[in-house]
Amino acid sequence: MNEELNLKLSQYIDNELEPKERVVFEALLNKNSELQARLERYQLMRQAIKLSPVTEPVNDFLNAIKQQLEHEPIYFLPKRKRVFDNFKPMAIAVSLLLVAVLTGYSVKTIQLQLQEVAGTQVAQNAVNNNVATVSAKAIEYPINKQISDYLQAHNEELVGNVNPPYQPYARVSSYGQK
Amino acid sequence: MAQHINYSEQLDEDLVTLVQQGNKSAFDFLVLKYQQRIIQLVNSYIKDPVEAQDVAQEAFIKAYRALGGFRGDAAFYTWLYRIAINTAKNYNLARARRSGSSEVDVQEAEAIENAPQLQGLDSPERLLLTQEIMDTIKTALADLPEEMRVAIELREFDGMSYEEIALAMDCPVGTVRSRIFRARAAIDTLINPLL
Repeated sequence: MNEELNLKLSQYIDNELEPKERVVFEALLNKNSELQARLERYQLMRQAIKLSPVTEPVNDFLNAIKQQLEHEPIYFLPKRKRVFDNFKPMAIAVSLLLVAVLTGYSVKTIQLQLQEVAGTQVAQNAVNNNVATVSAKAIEYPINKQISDYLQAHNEELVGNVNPPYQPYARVSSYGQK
Repeated sequence: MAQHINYSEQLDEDLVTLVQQGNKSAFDFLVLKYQQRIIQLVNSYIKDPVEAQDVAQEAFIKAYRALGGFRGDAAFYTWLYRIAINTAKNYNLARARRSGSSEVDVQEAEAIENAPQLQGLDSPERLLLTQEIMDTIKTALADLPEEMRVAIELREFDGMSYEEIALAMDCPVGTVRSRIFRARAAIDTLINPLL
């Protein structure tokens, strides 16, 4: 008999053939009486092996092992957290989301800070512009020029320290008019 | 009477976890569950029953020591069988070195030729399990090279798949397929004339 066929028979009895192979082999088996006879012997063999006597362990088999294991260290491995094993993808997704949110927050904070800095600069520019505008307007409007002159005279007196440190506004105004 | 192990893998896994968490007595249940089969398996390699028991005990102790690294990638019993097989082989190897004798060449043993051409179809009545047939099969099984014997025993006795046997015996699935087929063919040559 073909050796390959016998090998298939061995696999067939062990249920190790692929479904398609099994169908093909069964068709062949139905036609081949020699193969059928061998299959019956293989089944008989299986039965005989299963009925083989079992070697019983000696009485102190377990005790002997226990005695030897008394000197062995005890395991203290951490408990397996199997419940969380299924949540690994979710945990990764949440972590990524958290990172994304934090990153977004940081970017927004930086943008706000930048806006504040820009705002300060704009305000500073505005102040400078206002000063320039006021100076221009001081020329344009006499009252403003008077105030400007007063302030200038006041400063000069402070620096020079000759006269009393301040003069009345009316007096300064009268100087300007003169 | 052969006693087939109920491979409740979940129970094994739970017991292994308990041992790994410091419960030594959980290992006793694993020993009680598998002692018979491990002794039987070791007996396939070591003929002397007393030595076989000692080697089986050694296999269990080795399994306990290695249990910390067991991650459950394979079933516990496959892992345990592998340890038992390796322990028995190493024992034979050490004994052979001491005595100077050589072990059976597995490759040579596997090169057994197939059974001769069979005769015609036998009637089912002739396939009765007589004592003579039983004895013949037992003798044929005992005379098989150890790797073939273990492969067919793991298949017939323990109901393991080819893949599980390959894991336990640390060999390719194709080798398991070949060993089982050749073991059957070898036994068949002896029982065929009786039927």
